Amino acid sequence: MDDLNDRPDEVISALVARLQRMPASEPRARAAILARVRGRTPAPWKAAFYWLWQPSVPAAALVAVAVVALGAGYAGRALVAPRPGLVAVEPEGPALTLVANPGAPRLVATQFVVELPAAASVSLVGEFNGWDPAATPLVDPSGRGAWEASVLLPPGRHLYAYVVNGTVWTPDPRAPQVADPDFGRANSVAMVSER
Amino acid sequence: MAEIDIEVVRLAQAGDGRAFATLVDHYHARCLRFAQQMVLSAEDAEEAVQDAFVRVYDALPRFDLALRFEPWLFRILANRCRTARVRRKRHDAVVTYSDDAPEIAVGGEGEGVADEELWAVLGSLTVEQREAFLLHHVEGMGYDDMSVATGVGVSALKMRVKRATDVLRARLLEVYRG
Repeated sequence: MDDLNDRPDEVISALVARLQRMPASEPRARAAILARVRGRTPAPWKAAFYWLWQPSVPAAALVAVAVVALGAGYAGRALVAPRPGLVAVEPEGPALTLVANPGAPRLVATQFVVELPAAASVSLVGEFNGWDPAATPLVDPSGRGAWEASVLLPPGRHLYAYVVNGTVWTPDPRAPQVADPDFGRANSVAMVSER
Repeated sequence: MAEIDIEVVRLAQAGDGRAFATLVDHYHARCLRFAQQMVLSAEDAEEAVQDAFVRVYDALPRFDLALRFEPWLFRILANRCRTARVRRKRHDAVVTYSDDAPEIAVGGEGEGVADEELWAVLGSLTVEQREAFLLHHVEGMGYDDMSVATGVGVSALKMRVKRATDVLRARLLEVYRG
């Protein structure tokens, strides 16, 4: 099939020749792009983090061994069956399943908890905070490495990951994972219901 | 068009604004061409391209320099085109579908053919077929790069290109025969 596809006949060749003509690339259009990104001055973390995605950095392997994640809030119409109490690190702790906030009907208080006894810091990154590691730090109130954060999220499907010690980016192994549409790397999925 | 020097990508990744502007200058026309032929609307295409470059800017810190930039760029752009098509179906106002075959001049007399007429021919393909055909024949991508750009396997892509070619040939022959 490859040989046929790569040797188009006269009809197709003529069409392709027309389609290959470049449209005008207007300075106005290019300037509009640059104006939009100029307003999105690169966060300092971006330059610091880009090396994490290099193949030479075995971050994922290191994290897989070092991190024992106990999961994040995941309920509702999930890809797998809802598992209330999935991330119950502390029995006496707050409910870890998704809790509807009656005062904000369009947002749901969603608790993320992960056990990382050796971590000096943990933060939550996702579509909801622009993947900014500085936006949502987790806290360890017990001092025993049970890191947690509560985030108000609209109902729906959210992609997220954890950043450990400010450098290591890892998905949550206890939650469903999907490949990032732009990078092919794994992120975790939280399904937030309105309940 | 030659693929851009990876050093430009590396500099843009590190936050060099001039390097990112170079990326935009280098790829803007190609991205616009692909987007126009995917979404079949000049207005939606410009928006999709703009969104794609903004997304590239945001995502560059996570781009793996061991990979090739161009398929990654087109992956993002293709995603933006799909989003644009779902979000705004305005191409129907631009592309006229009618029982009268558009007058497509092929073989050297195409100067007067409007883009909209070419787009009408492309509109006879499914989105998946059109994406595969354009990436392979118009953008000149090999199947491995296309697989990166689309997330679809090589065999399926070859089939899509084959079917797209068959559909287009039949459509064009209809035009010739009036």
